[in-house]
This record gives sequence, structure tokens and C-alpha cells, in this order.
Amino acid sequence: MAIPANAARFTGALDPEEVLDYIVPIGPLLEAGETIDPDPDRWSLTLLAEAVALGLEILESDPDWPDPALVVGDTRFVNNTAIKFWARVDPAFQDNAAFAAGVALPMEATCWTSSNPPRRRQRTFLLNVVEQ
Amino acid sequence: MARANNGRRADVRFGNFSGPAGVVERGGETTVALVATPSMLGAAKGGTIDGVSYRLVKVTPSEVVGGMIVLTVEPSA
Repeated sequence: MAIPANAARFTGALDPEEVLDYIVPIGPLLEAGETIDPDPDRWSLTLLAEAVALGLEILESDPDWPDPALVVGDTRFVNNTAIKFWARVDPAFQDNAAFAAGVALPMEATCWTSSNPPRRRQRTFLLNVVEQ
Repeated sequence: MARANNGRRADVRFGNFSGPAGVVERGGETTVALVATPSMLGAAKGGTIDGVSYRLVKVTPSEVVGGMIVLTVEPSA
């Protein structure tokens, strides 16, 4: 699948040796009162192949960082309308030459919503990884 | 669907390319990103991912990573 020309970029670049948290805002895609279905089987974050090839990782089942989760209790977002995750570059890839100039790595957020019938929303986001 | 799909890194062979690649399976589609040029694939109609045979469906230059190409593949029958 092609990467949309208007794919949103996360603010704040990731240095390949950093571990940072990011938030995927789904709220602008939703109608009033509509949320992401909180069932963990009904939403996901997927790295696209280029991101995998360069060692980007969404941390999950890691003893030191939380799994991706819907955002609850953050005054910047309506509950269950955004997804928070932690990311890093696999240490084996941190010296990759691509990161010297910087590279935007793609990922995709997919979710079913709370509407009846539910909508399926999907957006591609770019995460900048650059040595800083 | 799982919450995070980090894909996997695999050893792939397509045409004259042999080496590591990023592989993502989602919604029944498998994509493979590798550092190569389309000409390195030659006229290959298929290849292998970790030794498993796949049919080559499409080759496109990466839209975000220079020097990388993205293959769309499907399991060989």
C-alpha cells in the first residue's frame, strides 16, 4: 500500500539511541461522542516494512516500558481517542547510516470505533529518526 | 488484531538480492523492504523469505527511504 502524501508526522524526532513516547491522535477522525473501541483486539499499530528494515520497534511486552494503550485521563484528549506508545531503534541498528541524515519511518494506526455500526479508521504516520 | 505489529526481520532472496529485510504481514498482505535496486531483482517472479517460497507481486521504490525498495509478495501455491 502506498504511503499517503499527506501522512502526518509526529512532532519530535527520535535519536536512534533514545526511547521516547508518542501519541497517535485519532480524535480528529471521530464524530462527537465516538471513541476508539477500547477492546485491545479492535485497534492496532503496525510498522510498515521500511521501519522494520531499519530496526524501529514499538515496545510491547517489555519489562521496562508500558504496552501501547489508549489515552485515558489526559486533559489534552477525550478519553479513548488517542493511542500512546513507546518507541526505540533496535540497538543493532542504531549506527545505520540512514539515521545520520535522518529518515521518516512509516507506521499505521488502525481502529474500530464505538459507533453503531462501528467505523474502521486507518491512518499512516511518519516518525522521524535522526542522530541528534 | 494485536496492539503492536512490529513485523520481523528475515533473510530474503529475490533475484540477485540476498540479505536482510523487514517483513510485515497485515490483512493478508505481505510486504518486504530491502536495500536494493529493482534491477537487482532481474526478472525474478519469486523468491524466499527465511527459506519459504513467495511469489513476487509488485516492486516499488520506497517512498520514504532512499535506496530501499518494497516488494509485495504472496505465498507460492
